Amino acid sequence: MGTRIGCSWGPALAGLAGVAGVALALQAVVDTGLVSPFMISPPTKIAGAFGELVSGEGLGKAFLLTFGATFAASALATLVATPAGYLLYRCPLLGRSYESWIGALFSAPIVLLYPMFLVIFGRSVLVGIATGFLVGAVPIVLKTREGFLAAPPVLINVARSFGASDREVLRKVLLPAARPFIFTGVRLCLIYSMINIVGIEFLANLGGLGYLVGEMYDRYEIPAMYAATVCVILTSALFYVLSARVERWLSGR
Amino acid sequence: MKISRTCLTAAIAALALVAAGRPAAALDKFTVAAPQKGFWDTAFPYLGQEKGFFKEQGIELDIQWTEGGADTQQAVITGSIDIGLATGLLGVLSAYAKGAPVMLASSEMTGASDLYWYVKADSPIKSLADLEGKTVAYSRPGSSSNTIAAALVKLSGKNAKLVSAGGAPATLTQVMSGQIDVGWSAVPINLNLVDEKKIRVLALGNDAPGAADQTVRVNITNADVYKNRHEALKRFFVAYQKSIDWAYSGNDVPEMYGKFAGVSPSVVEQLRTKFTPKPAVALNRMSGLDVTMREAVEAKRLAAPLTPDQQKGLLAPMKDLNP
Repeated sequence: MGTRIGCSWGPALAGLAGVAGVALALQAVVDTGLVSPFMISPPTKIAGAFGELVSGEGLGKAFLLTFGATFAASALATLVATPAGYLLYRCPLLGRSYESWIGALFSAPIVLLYPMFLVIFGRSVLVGIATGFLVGAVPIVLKTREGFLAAPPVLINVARSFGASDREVLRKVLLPAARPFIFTGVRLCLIYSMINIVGIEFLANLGGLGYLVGEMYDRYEIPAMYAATVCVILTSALFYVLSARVERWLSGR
Repeated sequence: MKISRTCLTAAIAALALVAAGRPAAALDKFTVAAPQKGFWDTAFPYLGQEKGFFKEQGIELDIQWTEGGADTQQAVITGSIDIGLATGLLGVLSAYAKGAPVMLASSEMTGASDLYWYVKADSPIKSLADLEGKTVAYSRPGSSSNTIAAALVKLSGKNAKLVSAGGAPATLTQVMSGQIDVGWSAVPINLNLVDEKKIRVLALGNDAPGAADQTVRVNITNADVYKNRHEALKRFFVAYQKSIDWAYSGNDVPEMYGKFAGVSPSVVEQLRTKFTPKPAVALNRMSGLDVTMREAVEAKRLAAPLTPDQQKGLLAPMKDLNP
């Protein structure tokens, strides 16, 4: 029993212990005066600021806005980029031609296009979704193509020898083989989409968690600013957990 | 013991060399954050340094141009900037009330005659009465343009959304591209576009009730700088005041400022008399603090107005540095 608990809960407990250790260390450096509380808030004050964020600053609404925008951008990116990755796999010339271009796009600061989206969509949540979609689609396209290329040729040949059609090869061989790669792309998409969406919320005053961080900073509510930042991190972690669960569900484990 | 003439000569020569090699007395250097490059009132330290007023006082300035607001204030509080110029009083009150090591060193602007709000020439917005559902820009939260924009929207009685749009040039881009309905600026920036009928002035800062007599921007410093470099700080404000006096009387100012701000030298006379008269930039004037505190409470920047003792503590450095 003890071994089972150690196996299932060990990593989570170790992770929490690490977070608690960092929090204790921060509390100590602030309490002893090594770091000014006006630079880094002590974790006790950050924890205390959550109540005010929830009751007075609309944390729930801000969370839903950021979560919803990230989800929408990532879902859209997955719907568009997965077939695009497959297309690059099926047409090797296209794949070879565009892989480096798409890779270059990955390192481009697409967030700087937000003024253009502001003109197109107005001051709405669509600005964040459009930017998140553009940023998030790139890793999915690249990882999807990589996944299909990594599918063992022997499995494809066996399927073909049993008379499988292209569609059956895709459904029964290629997709299962590429699934881990595609989900790596989706996880990257979620992370990069969210980073960009939060950044735009902060820059363009569009609501959501990014706006809340900026608002607290501007009002000099430093513990609340850090509390809002912690919410951004927790939202990111939530996406990570959800994507892992979806992947496990799809693979039947 | 006899010292030979040769040895004596060599010793005197060596002393002379050492004396000649000594550097002149080092200047006290201040890192200064000045917002909105090109604005008349924030140009005083730059122009004063060019003119040599700060060097006369043994001061050297490292001026860094910013967008103003909370960024300037936070840089002062953390000590990465010694002096923050022209930052909104609203933000300073918030930090001061929370015990941040920020000192109000002087007033910077009383009234808002230098600020104006505009729309595109073809905009359907003709007056403040047309603001329902529109977006109205200000620079950064806590800035003076934030205070005045909020007052103008309140005056309109309409449900308009305030938007932080950054500096005047960035705001112009957003207005002209249709991202924002009403932009903000400060004279003389963008007045040429008014003359060219590309934009229309919708309201002046002083149209906001009470704004004409309200101190909206201040200069701030860090508590450690105030304590440890007090004497140098006093010299800084002597040079600052001299820069202001010269800006309002010097014959060479129009050309210098015109070159610095990229505007016609002829606007300086308008700035001196119409938009930013000298009493507006008095360093030791603080008025309308009650109004500002009320606005700070409404904007959740203060939990309650400062007590009389807190107000006294807030204003003491200003009176000390600018007698």
